[in-house]
Amino acid sequence: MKFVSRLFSAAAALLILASLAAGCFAAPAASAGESRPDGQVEVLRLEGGTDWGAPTPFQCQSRGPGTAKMELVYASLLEKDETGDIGWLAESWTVDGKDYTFTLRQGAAFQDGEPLTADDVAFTIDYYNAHPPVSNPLAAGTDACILEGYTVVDERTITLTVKAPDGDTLTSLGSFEILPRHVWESVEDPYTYTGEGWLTGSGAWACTAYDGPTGSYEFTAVNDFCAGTQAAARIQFVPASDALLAFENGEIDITGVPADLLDRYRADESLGFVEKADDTGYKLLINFDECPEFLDIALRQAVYAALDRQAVVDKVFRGAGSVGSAGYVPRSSLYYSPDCVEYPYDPEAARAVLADKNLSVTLLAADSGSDVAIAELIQLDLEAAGVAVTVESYDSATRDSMVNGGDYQFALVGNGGWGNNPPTYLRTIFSDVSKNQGGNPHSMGPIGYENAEITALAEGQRTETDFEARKAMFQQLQVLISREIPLIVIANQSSYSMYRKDCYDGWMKTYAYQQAEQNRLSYMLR
Amino acid sequence: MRRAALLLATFAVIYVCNFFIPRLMPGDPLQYSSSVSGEDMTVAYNAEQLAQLRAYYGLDQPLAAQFLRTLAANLRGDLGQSIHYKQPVSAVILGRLPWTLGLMAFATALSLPLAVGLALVCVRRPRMDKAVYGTFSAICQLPPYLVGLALLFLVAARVDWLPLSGGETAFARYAGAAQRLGDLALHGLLPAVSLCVVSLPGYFFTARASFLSVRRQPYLLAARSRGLKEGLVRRRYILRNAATPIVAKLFVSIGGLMGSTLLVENVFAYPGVGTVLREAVRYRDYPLIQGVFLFSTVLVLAGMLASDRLCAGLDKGVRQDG
Amino acid sequence: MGKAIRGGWGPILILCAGLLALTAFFAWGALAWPCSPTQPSGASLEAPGAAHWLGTDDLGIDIYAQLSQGFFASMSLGLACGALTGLIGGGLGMLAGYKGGGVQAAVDLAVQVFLAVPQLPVLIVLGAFWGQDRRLVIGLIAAFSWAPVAKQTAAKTRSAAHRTYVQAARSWGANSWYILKNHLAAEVLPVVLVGALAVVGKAILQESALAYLGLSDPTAKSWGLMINRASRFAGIYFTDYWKWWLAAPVAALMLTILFTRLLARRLEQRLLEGDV
Repeated sequence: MKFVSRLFSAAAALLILASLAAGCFAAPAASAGESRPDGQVEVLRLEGGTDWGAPTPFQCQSRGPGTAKMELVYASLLEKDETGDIGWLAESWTVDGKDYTFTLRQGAAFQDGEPLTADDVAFTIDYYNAHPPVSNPLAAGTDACILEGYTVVDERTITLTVKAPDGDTLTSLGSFEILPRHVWESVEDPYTYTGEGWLTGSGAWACTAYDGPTGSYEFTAVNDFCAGTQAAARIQFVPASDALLAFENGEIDITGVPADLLDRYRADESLGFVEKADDTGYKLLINFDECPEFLDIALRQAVYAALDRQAVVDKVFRGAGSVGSAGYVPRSSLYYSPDCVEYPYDPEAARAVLADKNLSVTLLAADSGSDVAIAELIQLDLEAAGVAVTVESYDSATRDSMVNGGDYQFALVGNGGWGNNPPTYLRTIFSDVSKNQGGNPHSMGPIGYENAEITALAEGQRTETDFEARKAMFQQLQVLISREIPLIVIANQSSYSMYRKDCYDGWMKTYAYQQAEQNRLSYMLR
Repeated sequence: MRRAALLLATFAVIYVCNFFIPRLMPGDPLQYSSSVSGEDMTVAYNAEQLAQLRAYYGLDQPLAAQFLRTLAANLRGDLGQSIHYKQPVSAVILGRLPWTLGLMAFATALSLPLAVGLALVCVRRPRMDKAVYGTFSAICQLPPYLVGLALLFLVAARVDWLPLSGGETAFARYAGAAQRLGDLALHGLLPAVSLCVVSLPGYFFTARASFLSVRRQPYLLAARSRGLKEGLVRRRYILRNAATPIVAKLFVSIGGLMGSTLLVENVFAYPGVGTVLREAVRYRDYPLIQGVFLFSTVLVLAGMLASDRLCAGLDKGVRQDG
Repeated sequence: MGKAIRGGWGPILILCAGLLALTAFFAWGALAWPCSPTQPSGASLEAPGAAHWLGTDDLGIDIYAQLSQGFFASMSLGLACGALTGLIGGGLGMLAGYKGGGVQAAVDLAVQVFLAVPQLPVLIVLGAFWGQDRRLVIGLIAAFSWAPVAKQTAAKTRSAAHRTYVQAARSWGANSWYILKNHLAAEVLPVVLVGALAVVGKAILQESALAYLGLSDPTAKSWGLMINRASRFAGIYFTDYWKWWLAAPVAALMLTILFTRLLARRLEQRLLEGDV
């Protein structure tokens, strides 16, 4: 018995030790009772639970929630609001040909109190060139780097000279996060550095707690931030059990709502909703090298006619979404062109074209729930039209490398971000010279298909700096795409977040990004 | 000695397979682009950036060279850099290890005494024995994830005081260590119970068989005939002599228990190694996959070795019989 | 093993009848039930009723029909794994037990490796790559199940081969095949059979566990996949949907496992008379 009881006490001791070790990142004491600026709430709680990496420009993860946390801690020269770029660390800027001159705000400082000067901006550029960060709008450290050089004019002024200015240059120059020179100049490998000052940012929020295993983060508002006042004293990312339950219990202040439950909550006056319209999209890629028959446009039109895309919206998206526009840009986008060709569901017409062709294709899909469900609906519809379809589904990484490698006949690809800024993705999907390069789903374009007219428009819009003229070019491009059908757009899914209005209602979407929870301005008093 | 050599060879085989198999499979740690809304890639890499990253992680070299480099680094105690988490693999694993080991310990602390206690009672009560034995042999194959799911929707979703998932209440301020421990135990309860349900039968069978064989030993008769109290006999003779196989069973089942733990962690979104392994596989984070395997293989082999040593004496006896 | 629990053939027949009833229930669903297991036949998430005994899933596909198809998918997978395991484990075990020496050492090492590999992590990793192909899944599960069977078979063969009549046959010059067939088979086969039978249930479970983690053929309507899809449905615990969409496959899986498990156990007691 002694032996057994000793064993148990050992196990118990181990348990206690383990729990204590796990808890060494204890909750920080809140500075209660401190006076807050008008309108500022004490704490905003969001759903956490996933480790998105440490919030530094070098160690955050390359996905929305990862970069967003880093962007709370760090600040860039410009920021985006609902309609365009606004000053952030920079209070003003002038453009003169290839020269972009930024003037920093008075009182700009790092979180350790050191002043933030033009010298830090210059250092950041050099440092990024030596050690490219995760989010790299300058393409620093590569031949494609948009910068030619810089000139420090004075403490608060710096001129950045670009190689070739285009419609996106100002936004790119405004979006790289500024590093404190005094921390990083002695760091050899920023990708592993966790020493002193590694979380000293230039932004409105200081990271006061980060625990990877449980996925919890806490950010505390920095006093006297130069570009505005924070809307909360603290932001916490709380590992919630079930997000909805946590929201109902008041453990978190904003959460995603599944479409099925939307009506239930809509009735509640005290709740506000953010619609991320059409943000996820599914497209059907045809590998024309493998299926040259489909180079005949009549067949592609027949594929459109064969697909009951409304069924995808109704059944898979539970009604939250819309049938995809054949011009690719979602219907809710600022850039959407209503002149795009529509392809209504017409199974008879599809059958008339496809049935006697004796076609059989393999449809590659990812193995996640919606992907498989959509692939199955496509399979049913195409088989009804007389095309034999085999669905092959693989885990997403395998699917991605097969799509990137051209190892497919038909492929169903779904991803988020369709509601972002069309100029950032239309070119990389449809231009023959820019597509299928790099590791982003927005660069997966049709293989074995070329179209000079589309390519000329997709590349040409870049140099157009006038917004309306550029928008017109995009609409022309969409109409062209909808007529030529380089790929089949299936449907777009909308998602929703809801929040308690009485708690906080400053959630906003930028002109380029709909995820309110990931936009810096959502956390500022405005 | 032969046994140790066998274990070492086993380890080598697993180590080599574990290096090559993931790398020979389709998928790329730097080109994982699938996403759901709100979690999509917000950065775009051009071909040159991808090449730079590949070089940074040593993925640009031939496999054989990568293997030698990894081997040398591992021998130095360096498990490499996780590509997905952008942290050293050892830091990622060490951060999660307390959770997984804690959960395993919690589950064992629940199931082992219960199994031993039940076995002690059952050995003396045939009718109860029949019932318990029958039930256990029926449920001993239930997969932990199913038990976990059933508990989740039958229990946790119905009552307020049980958390649905997670390991602790975030940003909670505790009055003391006891309160904190209570919070941890509450979060670990359902996962531990799922594991307990699954591992209980194994321990019970072993304990029962062990008690039965000890009960037939002549020294018990001798002890009882000396007039020793029944409780003392049970404590001093039965438990002590039957303990070895039970503890050996505990060590042997570490592998199975760990597998179950990894699954259960996924059901309850428990912050342990299981969730990390799932992510590592999804993102093709080779160094992290290797690290998790290295850790689990060592744990399993150590358990086997320990149980071997414990059983060495018993084994001899058995062999002489045959 | 205690005498009290060593039943006769009665319980075995009852269990077989139970399994047959399950099979019949699902056979009716697969063959005679008017709803398709792949095509929507109703509205999304209909509650159980006359048209859909067990309701429909999010795509409007009948759940009873899916369950029925899943039963045969699971069973055939389990049986295939069992057969493969019996073949590999039994064959290698007999070989090792009979030949001894180098062969035995080699088999021992292989057994050791497969026993020491942390099974589930390996299945997770390999499932991600190969999970979509059913044959590979069968191979994978068999690869991780044969070792214990081989170990037991080898031990049994070894002890049987040492019996005097086998030694005698050998000394009279009988060839190996003759001895294996006539003397060892009767003693060793029950061990293999019971081992293989135990694998059937385990294989069904392992496949479902892989499917639950999203690592199996997602187009096959396996039970694990149904559970995966249902439990991943956002807000499922807040709606009533789980009562038919999630509970039905969980119950079906548990019931099937229970029957096969008990049957294997009973047969083990019956055939091996507690000497394993």
